[in-house]
Amino acid sequence: MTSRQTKDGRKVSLLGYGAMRMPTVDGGHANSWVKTGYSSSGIDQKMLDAQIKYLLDHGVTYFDTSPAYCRGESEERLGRALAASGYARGDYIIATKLSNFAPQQYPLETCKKMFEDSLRFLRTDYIDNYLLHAIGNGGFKTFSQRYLENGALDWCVKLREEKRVRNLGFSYHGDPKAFEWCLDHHGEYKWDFCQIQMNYVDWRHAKEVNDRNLDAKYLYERLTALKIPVVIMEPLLGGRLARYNYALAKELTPLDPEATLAKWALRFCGTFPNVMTVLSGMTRMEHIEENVETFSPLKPCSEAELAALERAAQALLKLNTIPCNSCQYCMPCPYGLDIPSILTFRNTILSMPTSPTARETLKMYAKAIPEELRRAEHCTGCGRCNPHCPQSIDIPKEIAMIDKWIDTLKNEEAGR
Amino acid sequence: MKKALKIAISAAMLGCVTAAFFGAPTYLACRIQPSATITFLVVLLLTPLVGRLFCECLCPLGIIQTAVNWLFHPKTHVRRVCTRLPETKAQQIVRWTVLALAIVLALTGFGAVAWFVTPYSIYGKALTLFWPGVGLFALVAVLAALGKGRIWCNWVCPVGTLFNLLSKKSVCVHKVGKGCGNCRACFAQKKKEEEPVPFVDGGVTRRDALKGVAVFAAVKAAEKTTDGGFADVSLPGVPARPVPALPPGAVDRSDFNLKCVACGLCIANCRGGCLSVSTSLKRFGQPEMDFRHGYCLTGCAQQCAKVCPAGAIRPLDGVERKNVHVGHAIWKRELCIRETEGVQCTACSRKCPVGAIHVVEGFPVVDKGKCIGCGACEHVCPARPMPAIFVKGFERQRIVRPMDEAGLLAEMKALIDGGASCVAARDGVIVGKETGFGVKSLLKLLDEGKLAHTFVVAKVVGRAAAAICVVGKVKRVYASIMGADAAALLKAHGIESGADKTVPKILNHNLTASCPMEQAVEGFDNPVAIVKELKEKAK
Repeated sequence: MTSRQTKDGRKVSLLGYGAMRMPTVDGGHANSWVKTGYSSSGIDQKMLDAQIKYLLDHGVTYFDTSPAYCRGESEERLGRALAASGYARGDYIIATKLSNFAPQQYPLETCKKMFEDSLRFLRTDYIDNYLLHAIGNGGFKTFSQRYLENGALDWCVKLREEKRVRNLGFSYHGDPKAFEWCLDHHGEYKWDFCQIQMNYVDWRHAKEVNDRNLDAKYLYERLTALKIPVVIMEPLLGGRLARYNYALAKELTPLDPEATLAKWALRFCGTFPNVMTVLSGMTRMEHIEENVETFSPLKPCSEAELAALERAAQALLKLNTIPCNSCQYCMPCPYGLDIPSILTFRNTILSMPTSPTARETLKMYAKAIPEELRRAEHCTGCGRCNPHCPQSIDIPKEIAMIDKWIDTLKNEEAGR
Repeated sequence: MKKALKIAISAAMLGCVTAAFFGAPTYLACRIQPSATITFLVVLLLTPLVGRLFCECLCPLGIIQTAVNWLFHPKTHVRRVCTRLPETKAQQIVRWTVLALAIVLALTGFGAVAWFVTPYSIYGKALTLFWPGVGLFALVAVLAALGKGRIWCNWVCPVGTLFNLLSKKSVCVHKVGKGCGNCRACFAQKKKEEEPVPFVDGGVTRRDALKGVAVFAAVKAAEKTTDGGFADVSLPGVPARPVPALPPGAVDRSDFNLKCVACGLCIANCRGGCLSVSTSLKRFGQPEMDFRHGYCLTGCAQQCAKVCPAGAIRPLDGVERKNVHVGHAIWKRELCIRETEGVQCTACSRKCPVGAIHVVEGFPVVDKGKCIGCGACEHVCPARPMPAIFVKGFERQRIVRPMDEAGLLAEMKALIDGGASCVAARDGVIVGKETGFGVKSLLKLLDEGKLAHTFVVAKVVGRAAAAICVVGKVKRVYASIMGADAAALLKAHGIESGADKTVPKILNHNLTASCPMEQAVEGFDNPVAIVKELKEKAK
């Protein structure tokens, strides 16, 4: 297992475990609909225990979670699995976040309670890496309300002084102003690390996908200049860079026919020396085995390979897919829609080399979102999902577009 | 030989009828239904000659009873003789009472109930999982399994009674030997204790079943704190419609109620998933719109009318189909989540396929002139337990007649004057309207496939626009200003054209030089090549 160093000199594995897509008893990931149904998360603790043990056995030492993940169960489940692994607390690094997204969680007292809860759930008395969660999501004003006006950031710095938090950092999505503000105040807060979305598409094209974004290249270079280690999230774009996609395979396969698409994407991220850890939300044991292999040791990409990845990125952008990574931040939709599945369904169809017939598409749609009432047509357009989306997708607009498309297909099918 | 033929016909019929309920185009089979069709008359006339042909080989219930008999009592000859045995007194009383009751019900306007006990209706309802129908169907099978032949046909079925009467003097029928004293000993098997017939009755209507469903639990104002998970969802209730909404083509409601035999074929074949079984006593088993699972698709080729064996749903031709209004939407303020939850919901107006719902100052306003009563708004309305917008059916469906030539041209010209750059109409109905740059908007219509067989009115038509019309298979073009070369191009491809003013050349906005689009296509003769060039340029 290739490893890098934290700012305080600890060894850390280049592959990190992202506890956002935990395995469920039906073989899907937490929040998926299969069998366990829409009402329970159905996390498979036994499998999770085995996975965490496997990861630790193979030298993976970085575990990233949040109080918001998996309907709020992630921390507790991860804590249980780490305790069951038999490893000592000093053998691994826990990263969790101050996920005070809702206005009722802005007050400092609530934030403090959230931190104490994290400690309790994770069965520890200190957090190695503590993050301000998704700064910039919802705009600079929200950032200010969440961390500055309520004194939460100053309190976090105090936690670090008390050694209850070893490293302080932030994860960034959204408004560039928040990112710039944090870096401008680096002298004051001395960030120990920073978590950004980086992969071979966002490297040069994040701004192209959404004008509000900053390219990962810019973020990385800015952080490297300040000597802040970088933690990477969404190296696979929620699986969009890992699932078979003709556009990607066409560019990458000739260079290494045996490598999976996921391996390509992970190697890209690991190539950069200031990257401390690449987080991957691995749901299945097979994902874990494959990724551990990719990183043992990691082979950095050559210039020619980087060029091929850039071509693949451009090919992906041409498909005009919706940049949804199924992170579930938008969920639960108050009107019961299965937003990530709807958007992902659209992407699936767009990624096919030839588009299926109306009848086939409708069949696939019914399979992708099995409950009628969770399909696109039931969107009320209330827009309560929008501020939560770290990719800044205008969700109601996309859903309306998908509904219109499905309607066209239905009419086409019924008109025959 | 005769037996093999009978089995073959029976199997084919049962297959056809069943397949029809799963969308197979077996229209012929469907029309054997005892309704006032020619086929029915033929069967009726044949019956005195060949016996109960219908009950034996055509009726799905009859065939199934025979099959069940054969399965349960393979060795007895009861099966063979039972239908020819002399009737007992009790049997006569029961069957004639049922028939009389059916006639009385039909005459007093409760025909739907009478139709419900007819074989096709029972079979259809069983296939569409309407529980009273499934119950009756099970009863028929159980009776047959108990071993006394086709008891339903011979004791209850009004259609059976009718055919029995007709076949009394039939020449080809088997007769029981002369000595028959109606002892019934031929029911061979050891006489069992009279078992009570287990009445397998679902008895639960879909509406009852829904009462148990939890009320819709929308997450209210408090913001969510964790990611993932799903809010509870539940189906809405069915609003008490003053008038039920019927499928397009069931033009006159009372006429429809009279003709419909409640076979359930339309329900099984509805592509929008919006037809359901009525539980009202007067229309029991007949179809009516229920928008909980779908709504009437505007583009649907009227699958319901295609399969209707009774002619109760009339197939409408293209123009009529597109302009039939089956009802209109009514909004209830106190139910709307705008009032109950303070959410600015736009579901109904977004979903409306004809753009009949406008949001004015946050309130949905239904344009009743445009509303076709398809139920899309009701289907997507998030209000629970009852939708806040619902469709009230019409007693008589409204078919908005398309405009005549002159009226259409005037209307389209008015749209052009109002800022549109091109308008397309088909069969007297405006199907497309675009604003913006002339050639680009025509290209857009072309890409959307809206130009075929249309009458196009545009502001300016040069060679570029003319080529698009040729490629789009437009029938007729009218322009405020038309280039002479454009008119020639259209004429060469057999497209009629007209204009307020014809000019030798289309100029640019400042009238200083020739139009850039015209310059771009200079030198190209083939319309396909011109369109390709234009598309390149548009990029």
